[in-house]
Amino acid sequence: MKKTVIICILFVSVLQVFGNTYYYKNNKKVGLSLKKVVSRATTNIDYYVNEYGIELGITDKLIVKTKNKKTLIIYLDEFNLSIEKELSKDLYLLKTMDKNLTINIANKLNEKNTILYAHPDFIKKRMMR
Amino acid sequence: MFYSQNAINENAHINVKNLLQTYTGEGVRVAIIDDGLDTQHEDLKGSIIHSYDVTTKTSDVSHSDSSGYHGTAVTGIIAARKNLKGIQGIASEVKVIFLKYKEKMSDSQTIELFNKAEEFGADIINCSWGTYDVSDAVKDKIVDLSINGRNGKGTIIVFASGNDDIDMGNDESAIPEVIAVGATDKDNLRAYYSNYGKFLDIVAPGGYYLGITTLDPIGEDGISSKDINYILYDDSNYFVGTSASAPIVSGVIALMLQENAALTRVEIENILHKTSDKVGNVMYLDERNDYYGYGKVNLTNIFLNKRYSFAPS
Repeated sequence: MKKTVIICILFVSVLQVFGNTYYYKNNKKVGLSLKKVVSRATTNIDYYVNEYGIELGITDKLIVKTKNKKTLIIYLDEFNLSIEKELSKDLYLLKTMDKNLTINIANKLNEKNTILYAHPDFIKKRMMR
Repeated sequence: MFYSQNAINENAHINVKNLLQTYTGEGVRVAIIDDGLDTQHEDLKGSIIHSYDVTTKTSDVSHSDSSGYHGTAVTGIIAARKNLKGIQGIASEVKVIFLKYKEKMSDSQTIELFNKAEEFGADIINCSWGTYDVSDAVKDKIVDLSINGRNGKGTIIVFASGNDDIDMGNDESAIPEVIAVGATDKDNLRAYYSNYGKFLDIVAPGGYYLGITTLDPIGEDGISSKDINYILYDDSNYFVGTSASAPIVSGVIALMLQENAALTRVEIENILHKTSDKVGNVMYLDERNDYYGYGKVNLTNIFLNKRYSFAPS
């Protein structure tokens, strides 16, 4: 009984920490919790922590890999996106209207049949070894 | 005498013998993605063919501040020239492509650097860094290069496994198509800090108690406290870690490609796996374990024992 109560408390705590914010990695949902907002003259980055404890910066950019560039154009209109650059074949860096929309739009794109994957253009720390 | 004076296991090396008099990596291009490079270093003269900074979009890859050293140290292990100065790298005649990252970098910038390595014709890409959480897009690019780069033979991408004594997990080094390198120490055992996991390929000396002698930015810049242009093995700021192990393996691969440029990435991996020394006190099952991979790289086994042909398959 005690074990069950502890498990329930832990589960609720995790829900409270990560809430409904998530992104897709390898087609699986990964929880995110907001850490801090950094506003600068030309950049605007929100920092999150994912459920693995990794800090991720999110801006108004996201990355999408498409099966078909023609359908990508439809989604550009649907979500008010613009193409920043083509990163490689069928892989695009897109810009949203507002960084607060990035995660949600990336998730919705990820759920489209003609999109192989989509996620924010994460900013991460490269650790020298 | 050096080994006995410093209580180093007599086998705690990669068994070079005199092979570096014959093999130099001539004709091979190695890209290094790291924090900066002292392109004016006396021991790199003539080695650099391309450079690119992802922040400034220019060819200036100098360290961002006077304390920067890491990329210079990594490059020195691979490519320090065979001359009358300083040290000699594992592959002293390779051509260097240096790609400067920034500490907090976006996925799209990371992909840009791998694109640049491809554009500049890199045969090998050394990455002595990691994030512990590779994104789908970055992984996709790395896998694509590993399979399709070098006109279909596969670009060889080498990652340091990390220094936190943890499982490699979601790190870049855990991508199956890269060569993940852990570190051994002076006792010819896994260095206590060296990350491990089911995708660890191989280990190489990384240091502990003593470091790896390599280049430091010239003059007062860098971290060396004993020599102004080199980080000596016994400097109090010695260069230690899987960051040192990875470029040793990158240099060895450059020598293999000098011998046979037609080797595919898979063939190179197989040769490394089959010629490595099964060191350590962990059982090897099907030739490997999670702490040493397939074992410690052995240059003599690769080139002189002729167990594995270098002829194209």
